[in-house]
Amino acid sequence: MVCDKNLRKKNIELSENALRNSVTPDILMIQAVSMFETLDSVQEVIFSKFKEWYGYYYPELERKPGNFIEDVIKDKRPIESLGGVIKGEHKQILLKNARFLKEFSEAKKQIDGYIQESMKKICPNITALAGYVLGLKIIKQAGSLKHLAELPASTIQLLGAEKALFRHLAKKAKSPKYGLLFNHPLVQKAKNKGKAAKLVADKLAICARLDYFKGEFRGEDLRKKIEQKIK
Amino acid sequence: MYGEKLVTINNKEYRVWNALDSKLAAALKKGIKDLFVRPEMTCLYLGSSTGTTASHISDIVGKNGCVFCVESAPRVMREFLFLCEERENLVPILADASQPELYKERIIKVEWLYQDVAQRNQVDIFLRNTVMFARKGAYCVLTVKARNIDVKKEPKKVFEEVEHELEKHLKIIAKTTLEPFQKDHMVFVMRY
Ligand SMILES: C[S@@+](CC[C@H](N)C(=O)[O-])C[C@H]1O[C@@H](n2cnc3c(N)ncnc32)[C@H](O)[C@@H]1O
Repeated sequence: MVCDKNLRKKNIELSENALRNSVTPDILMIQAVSMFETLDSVQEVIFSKFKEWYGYYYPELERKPGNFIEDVIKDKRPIESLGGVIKGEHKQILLKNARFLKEFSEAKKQIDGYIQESMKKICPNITALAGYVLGLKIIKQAGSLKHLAELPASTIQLLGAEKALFRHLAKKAKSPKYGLLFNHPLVQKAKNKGKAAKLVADKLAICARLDYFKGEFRGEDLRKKIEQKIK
Repeated sequence: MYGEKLVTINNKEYRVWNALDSKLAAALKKGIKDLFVRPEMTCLYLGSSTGTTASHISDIVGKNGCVFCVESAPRVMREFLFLCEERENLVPILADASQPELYKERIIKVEWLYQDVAQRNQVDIFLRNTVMFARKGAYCVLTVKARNIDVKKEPKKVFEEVEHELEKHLKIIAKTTLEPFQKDHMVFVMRY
């Protein structure tokens, strides 16, 4: 049967609206942290390429104290430098690239600042308990704040350890005790890391629900409770 | 559309339906003779994702047919909405297939139903949608992924249990695993 034009139109409208409304701040923060991780992973390659290139102009600068890129942009190359005599377009492009690298670093800092601020605002409990970076990574692994709020603590404990978990279930390998939570400072410090991860996961499940349903602020208290128990 | 090959036979262009991209194409390759989807049919597709397989169903039912497509993930629905602009017989529904009550006003009874949702409760989702939207005598096709239902159990055992459950409500016409195209999958072709 031919599609009823009105029914189709109504369905398109409803789906388009639902799509628009699905864009929540946690989803934007996940995108931001993902960009941060990508920038971070290529930073070293880009900077070392640039240093190699710049070394033909003013190789001594790299060994000097101070902010390398800032100093490149100031462009105070002494005449006795071992670098070549580089002028005109050859020098211009080098300095333009230096400005790009400066902006690259700034972009990273800006994303970091944005994540920190937004996490404090939107997920105060998770942030108090796990810090904004780890907190956001956990939200990212769950897919969204809503999703995280729906997960039982036992699943949260193993977020980021899905492969190991699957290996355990399928091939009877040892069961993992933590995933991303391994990076939590209280887990790092603890002797019994598995137990610590479980404690953190239990409280994190509460924090996720508090943040998702915009409940009260208890993150700090919950964190202290874990500290006491671990001692 | 999604990078599939095009071939021309007798001046008519055809899109290759690749068994590696689509589980229904894989089922046909594995010896399923008929999926019972025909021109002019009204269909319901649960778990349409970006529309890879749905686009082929759209081709088959043609301009006098209609395919209602339910998908719960907004990110892939975005791509699917772009596809709907090109294909007037596709109807997008951004909704959770495990809550058919929430979209029952948005779909009419269908003659063909297909589901591929990779969820633990996929059989339950399938049955509830079938009861709600399939006409008596409708053909229903279900892709089951054993791992989603129970990772610990033998896939064979999972499929047996699924089959037992399906038989209570539908007549099974044909079934096949999808090796080597997909691991631990079974496709059931049924009549309601
Ligand atoms: C394996 S993919 C489907 C691929 C698609 N059938 C194809 O061949 O092109 C499964 C899809 O089901 C969707 N899905 C999972 N659970 C769902 C639910 N409860 N309701 C609707 N869609 C769901 C997922 O978002 C995903 O896009």
